[in-house]
Amino acid sequence: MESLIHTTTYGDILRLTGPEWILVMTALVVLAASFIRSSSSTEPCSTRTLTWISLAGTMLAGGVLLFNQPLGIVKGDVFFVSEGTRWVKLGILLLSVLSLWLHLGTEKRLNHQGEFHALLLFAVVGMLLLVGADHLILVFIALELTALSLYVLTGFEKNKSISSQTAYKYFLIGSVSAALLLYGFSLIYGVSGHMHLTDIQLAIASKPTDSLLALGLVMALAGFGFKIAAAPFHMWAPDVYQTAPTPVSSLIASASKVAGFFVLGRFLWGGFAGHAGSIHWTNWTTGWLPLLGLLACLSMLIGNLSALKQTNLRRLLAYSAVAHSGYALLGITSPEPLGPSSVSFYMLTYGISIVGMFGLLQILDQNGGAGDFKSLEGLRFKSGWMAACLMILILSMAGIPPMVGFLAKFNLFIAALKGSSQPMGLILLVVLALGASAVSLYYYLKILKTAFCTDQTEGDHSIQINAYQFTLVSFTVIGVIVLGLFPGPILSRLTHAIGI
Amino acid sequence: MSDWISYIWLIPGLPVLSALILSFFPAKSGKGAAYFACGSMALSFIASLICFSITNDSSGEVSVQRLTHNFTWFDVGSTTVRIGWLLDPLNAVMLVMVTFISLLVFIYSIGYMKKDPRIVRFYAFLSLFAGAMLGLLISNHLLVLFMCWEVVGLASYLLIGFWYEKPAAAAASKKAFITTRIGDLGFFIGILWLYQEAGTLLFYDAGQGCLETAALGWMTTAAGLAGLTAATSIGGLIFVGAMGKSGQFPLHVWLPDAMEGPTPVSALIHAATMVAAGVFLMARVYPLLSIPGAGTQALTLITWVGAITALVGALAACAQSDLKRILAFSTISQLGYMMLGLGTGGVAVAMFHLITHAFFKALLFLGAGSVIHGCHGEQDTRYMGGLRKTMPVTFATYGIGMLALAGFPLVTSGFWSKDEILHASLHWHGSYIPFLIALAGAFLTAFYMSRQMCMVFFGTNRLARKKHSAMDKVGVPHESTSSMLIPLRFLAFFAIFAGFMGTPVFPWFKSFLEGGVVEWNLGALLHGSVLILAFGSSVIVLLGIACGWWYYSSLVFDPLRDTDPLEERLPSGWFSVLNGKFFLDEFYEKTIIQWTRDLANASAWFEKNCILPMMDGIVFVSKMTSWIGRLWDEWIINAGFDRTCKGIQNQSNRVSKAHNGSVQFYLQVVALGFLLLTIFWIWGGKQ
Repeated sequence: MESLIHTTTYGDILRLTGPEWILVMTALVVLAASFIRSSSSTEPCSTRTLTWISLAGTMLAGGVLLFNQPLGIVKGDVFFVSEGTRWVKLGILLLSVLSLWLHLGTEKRLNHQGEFHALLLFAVVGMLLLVGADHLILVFIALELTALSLYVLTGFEKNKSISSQTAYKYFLIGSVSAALLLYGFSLIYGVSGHMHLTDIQLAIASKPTDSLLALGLVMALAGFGFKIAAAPFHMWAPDVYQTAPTPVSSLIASASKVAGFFVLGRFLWGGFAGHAGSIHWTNWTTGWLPLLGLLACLSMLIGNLSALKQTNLRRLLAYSAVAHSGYALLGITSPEPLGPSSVSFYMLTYGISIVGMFGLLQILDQNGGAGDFKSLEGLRFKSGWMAACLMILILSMAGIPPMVGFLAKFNLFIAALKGSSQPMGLILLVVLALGASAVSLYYYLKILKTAFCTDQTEGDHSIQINAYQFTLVSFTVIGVIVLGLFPGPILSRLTHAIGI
Repeated sequence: MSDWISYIWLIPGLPVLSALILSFFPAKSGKGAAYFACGSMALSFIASLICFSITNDSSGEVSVQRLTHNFTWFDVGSTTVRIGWLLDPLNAVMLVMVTFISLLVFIYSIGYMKKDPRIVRFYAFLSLFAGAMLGLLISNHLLVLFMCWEVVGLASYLLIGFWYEKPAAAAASKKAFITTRIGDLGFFIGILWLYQEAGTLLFYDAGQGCLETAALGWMTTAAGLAGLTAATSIGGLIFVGAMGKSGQFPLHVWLPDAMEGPTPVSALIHAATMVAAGVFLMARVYPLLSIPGAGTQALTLITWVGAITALVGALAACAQSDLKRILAFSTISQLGYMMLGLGTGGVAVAMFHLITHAFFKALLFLGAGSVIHGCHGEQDTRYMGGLRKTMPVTFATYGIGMLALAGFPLVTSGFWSKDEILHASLHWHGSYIPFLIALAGAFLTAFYMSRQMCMVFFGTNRLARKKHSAMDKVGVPHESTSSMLIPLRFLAFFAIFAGFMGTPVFPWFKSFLEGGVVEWNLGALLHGSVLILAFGSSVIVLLGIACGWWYYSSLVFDPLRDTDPLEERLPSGWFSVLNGKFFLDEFYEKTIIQWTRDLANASAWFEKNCILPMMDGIVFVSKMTSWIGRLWDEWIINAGFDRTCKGIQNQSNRVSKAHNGSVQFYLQVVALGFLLLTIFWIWGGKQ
């Protein structure tokens, strides 16, 4: 790569972190815009204008990333930009754009829109930094930037007590996790004497696993587990999904997960590949791989089983998200390039479908639904297109071909089976995942059954959908189908890029 | 213009697209739907003609020109799945034939189906049928071919059972579907094996395809079943699929029953789409069957199966009385001839007969449809007779078709193509018996076709004799409308003249398919046994026609009382064996179907007594688990949450609202998880 930058000048650092800077500037512009208008007239600057500014900034960042992004490493290996991070960041930006678009369609008005948008953009900045981080301190700072923004966003409906309550709980659990993570990092530093992942790798590769290092890794895993909502660190998810404003939920469920999984894979394989151990079912050795396996099992089981009995759709999605994290953890067990690329593809496509689902939920809420199964009844008669969209999104999440969910899951399992040094080593876990997928069909199909198989009642009338919601949901549905039929361009690009 | 081949998918694409669009048409738009389907078929036909003319340009060159367009379908990991389109003389000529006959059948159906309330659906299915067949033709990938093959099967199922209110039609469609599926199993195993051996299913891929020298060479050395080479074994397995689709003995039983579908469907199945697929498949994989030094056991198998099929079909046809069933058995017999030709003479011989047969068999079926239409749905030839007066156009064209099928010397296409097969089988190295069978079949064909002609068109009309036919209501037989007669005239033309593209004097067809320069060669007639054989087969055919005429021309019999003249002349019992199709259906019913039923009963018992209790147990455990999950959620998480909410409402001033059981519990879980991970690590370390 000729264009690789490896330097210390601030100009180059600025160029490497171009998209992040654009987002930060956009956030400041949005904040300023909300004040300018409110001082000159009684009306505050309209929410849609702010959203449009944020959207423009996000898209600009995406454009810079796509067309004018130099690759390189910031001196001191704190932050790096590679082909792989570029594509993952593009995915995160796409999901952020979709979440912002979701906000565009919101009819419910909240106060302090300037802050809302600024915080949302800061959260995205945090995710982008997280993807490129190669240094434990930067990992932690980026994680905290995202998390702190999301805590506030979760509790943004301040007039609702449940909202503040949930945000507070989210914050408390998040802080404990952050503390665990930080303590884990400090132990790792103590053992290895380094903060850069590559240096850590070099320093401890030849050493046997130290018990302090083990403790540090366990703590870090617990901290990351919170980020990706893996059981048993998932307790916050149902509450947050249920009460946070819809765009925020969708951001937490999609983009933030992509970043979390990417950095987890990078952290484990980039820093501690020598202490992975093995979960081959005939050759079990200690290390962090068995812990991943345990987290994956727990997430798949607890997520799917808890989802079975949910009556609230958002809580159901939250538990299903826990299950999906479990599947994705299986992919993490496989090293580069197969593991990270398949996990990124999986979380990306899952993100697209879950944003679409949140779009649908927003439509239902707006038409007087309480977010439970009852609000789905007779959807087929109220809006055939939305019912069809619901079906495609749900089937994609359940992993039915030809929707992309199938292919992504298939890829993930292939990665898990091929990844370890002995092929088919994870066969038991994959079988468990297949079984868990079968269980998940129950609640997915229950959603479809409610939408399609209820009789028409007198009260059914067509539902109100605004153009933003319509385009959002249709876009995600088309994306899910097109990616399912022609995954080649994206998938091969991801595999290729991460392989470098 | 070099990449125009990448647009060849439009040929099957147009009918498939029109099938899709038609499925959205309102059911009332009867004629509009028909015209729409005809229009898209006409476009496909034009495109096929263009393709044909392009391949025709290159004929006369020494080697056969193949145009391929391969592209990546999708990647799975490091495996790239590529598919592609192919255009060579073999499928170019098939494309023209299939689109032409489909177009005629489509036009014909406008008249034939005009009173049917489901005409839109009919055209949608018909378009799908033709489109799938065309897709099968242009595919350069065996798996894609197989997919189209299966869609052809599905469409035939839908069309044979189109009048699903009739129990016989519903049963026939199932029978066709299941019987061909048995063949497809062999085919599919063959595909998998081929993939295993060759590593690709692309036919031609710049030297890397599975039908090209490198792969064929490898398969010659690889071992297959029972001492055969892999190539031969795979060829045999693929032939099993062709046996099902192309009605070869003993998988031919579905074909006569398939007559329950509307007659245009029968015409399409028998001439252009379904049964031709099997012969085409064998012609496509012929390089696999005929590798020098790899053994010719597969071709021997094809030859023998073809010969037996030709004889069995012809024998059974002699004793049928249903107009369409006679034609169905004649198709089986003719398909046998094609396979025989393929096994002994190669692709050109089989394909020549396939093409000529397609024209005259479509003609015969559409003519039969016209007869049935004119006789108000009567299909039993015993109740027909004398129709030449009331249906002159149908009579003339049907007569041409009959002569072509019988192989009337010199002027019909059937004569030339059948002679090629006879000639090839005469020179076959294996045995003389297939040749003798083919000769006997030629005699029988001439006999049963003239028998049918006499019963339908000569003598006096017997429609009134049928007890239940209320003559007052249905009236007398009448000629059909012009939309039905025009296709008949076209087909009659080709039934005569299609043969002249492959006479020994000017073997254009052979050189077109196999490469080489074609030239006039009158001397070829005198070469070897050509003239003698042509003369001999002419005599046999004329003898068969004379026999049929002698038995049946002066027939004044009462269909309710009298027996068939053939039955009186044959030893007792023979006729009923022939009429009962050698009781093969009954044999299957007693053996395979009965075994299947027993097995089904056994598994039902097993399901009820073993699986169900087990399932109940699993359901119980799942229910228990999810019940616990719900309790967990409701009583521990939600209850705490609700209590919190109440607490907030009641004591909104208190700062301590976060310090309730709920959050503490959440954190306890986090701590628990952390502990769990640590213990797991340590426990793992002791292993």
